[in-house]
Amino acid sequence: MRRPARILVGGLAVWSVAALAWESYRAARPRWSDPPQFRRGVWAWQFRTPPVENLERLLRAAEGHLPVGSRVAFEPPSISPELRFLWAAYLLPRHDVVLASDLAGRVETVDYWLVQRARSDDARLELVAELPGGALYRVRR
Amino acid sequence: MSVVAFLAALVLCALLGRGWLRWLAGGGEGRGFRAGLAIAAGIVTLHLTLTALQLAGLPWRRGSLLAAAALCVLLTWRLPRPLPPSPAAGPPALEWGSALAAAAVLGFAVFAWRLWILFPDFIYHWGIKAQKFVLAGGVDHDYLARPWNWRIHPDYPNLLPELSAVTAIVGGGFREPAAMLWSPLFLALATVGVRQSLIAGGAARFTIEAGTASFAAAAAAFGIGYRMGGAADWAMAAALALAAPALLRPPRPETDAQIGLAAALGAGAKIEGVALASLLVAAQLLRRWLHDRRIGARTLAAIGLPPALVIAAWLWGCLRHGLFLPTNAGLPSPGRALPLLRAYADALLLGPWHGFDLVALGVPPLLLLSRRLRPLAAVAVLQLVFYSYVYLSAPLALEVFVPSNFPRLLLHLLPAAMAGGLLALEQRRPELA
Repeated sequence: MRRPARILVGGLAVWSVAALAWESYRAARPRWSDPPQFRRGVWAWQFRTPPVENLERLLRAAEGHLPVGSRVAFEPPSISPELRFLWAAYLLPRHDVVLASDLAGRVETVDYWLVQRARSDDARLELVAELPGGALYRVRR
Repeated sequence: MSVVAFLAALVLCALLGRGWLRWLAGGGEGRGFRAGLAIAAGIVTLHLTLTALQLAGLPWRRGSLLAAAALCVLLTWRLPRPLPPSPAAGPPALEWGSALAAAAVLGFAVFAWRLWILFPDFIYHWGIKAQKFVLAGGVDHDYLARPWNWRIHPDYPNLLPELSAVTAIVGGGFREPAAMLWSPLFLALATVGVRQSLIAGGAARFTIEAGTASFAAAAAAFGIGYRMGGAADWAMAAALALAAPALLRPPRPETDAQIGLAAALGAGAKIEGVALASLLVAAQLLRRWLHDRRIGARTLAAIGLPPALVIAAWLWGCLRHGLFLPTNAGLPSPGRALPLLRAYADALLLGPWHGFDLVALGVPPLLLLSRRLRPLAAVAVLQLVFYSYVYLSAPLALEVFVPSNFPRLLLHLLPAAMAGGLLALEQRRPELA
């Protein structure tokens, strides 16, 4: 193998290892800082960070009131509602979670209505429980 | 516990795939590559076994899974070797580059296992599906078909969520850290593929070691920096990497089988993998035709049957339950070409690639100049053409669509670009055809 090619190949290895070390440092640093830092955008949510823990707390509290397999409309705050809905669907796998705005007012197609960081005054809904970070309603039949 | 669950599922895959080595390895492959082939074959066998269980109406439970697996193991271990092994020399021993690569994979595994680099699509696609499959005891087509679930891409192949589901079934519960470990496993498979490609291409010992380390470290750096824990793109990279050695050698029965396996793995991973599978099959069939002037039934079965089974199972599920999304179809719009090039340029600045994205994008077209590297280069270039076709035809805003996925699509091409690029560097005189 020619010397310049050898230098190039060796340099590539050094460069890639340095890149790995840098990215590892960048990924680990926020976790080790006190308090741990995290990106707030819903797209960047990670487990064991406050936004996800807040949502988990609400969902775990709601879960106790929801029969397994029930269909639940989830009404998240207005910022990135679709991504928040997908997190809620992930965290409630035993239930059929629907994004409330997808229903276009057809409340009767679901069994329950879960609102995060708000309350609902819809007459078709009956309050089941005030929860940490939200409220759970049953759809009146 | 999550590591034990993952290891149990991995052992299951290795057992399922080990018998296929009679077809997949000819004697010149290294132990790492042989292990990679066995695990990949086990993953594909597991996918097809789960599909067969579903078709038979049997739920995915630990008992049915182990019984089906035992049956598969018995079947594959009892079958004879179809042809004598190739007389290729054994590969060089593992050295410093392999140790560095192993450290890179391990580092990525730690970040993934700690859930520090969770990829959003694990929540939005793969993880939610895996949990639903565990609860339903199979692919929950009813759930996927609900109109509001278009967001979880119901029409994607299910190999990755199935792996997470099996890990949960074997391990007694769904745990994200266990599911995350499939990403470093696929990185390891891609790494052994790159190493074997360099060996198959006749690279010097130093290039083999440096190239193996470079690929693993660059891919792991991207995986950590871009937060790729739980992404399906690792399986795509592994598919092309496992096919690369076969594309660098003259066609033989074992390389036919390797192409068939890699194509099946890609087809099971993502919709893009169906395109990759088609390209791999077409490339190997063409090489076979040019080499032998005929394509026998055995050759056709080795190359085409594994991906055909995977694609048929996927199509059956999608068509029967109406899962295909309208955004998947469309004709390319030439007016989007310039904006697409701008979006590509912008996307190249995104992501912690440290320049390796330029390698993945720029090197494969150059490799077309080399006759020896042309089959590998052609597959990579045509895969890139396929991505461009999708961008040109999908009714989505390029300024959002391209940056959100193009950086990680380049990961699929990196094994071919790096292995091919390093082999081109080694050539003492330009081999222009």
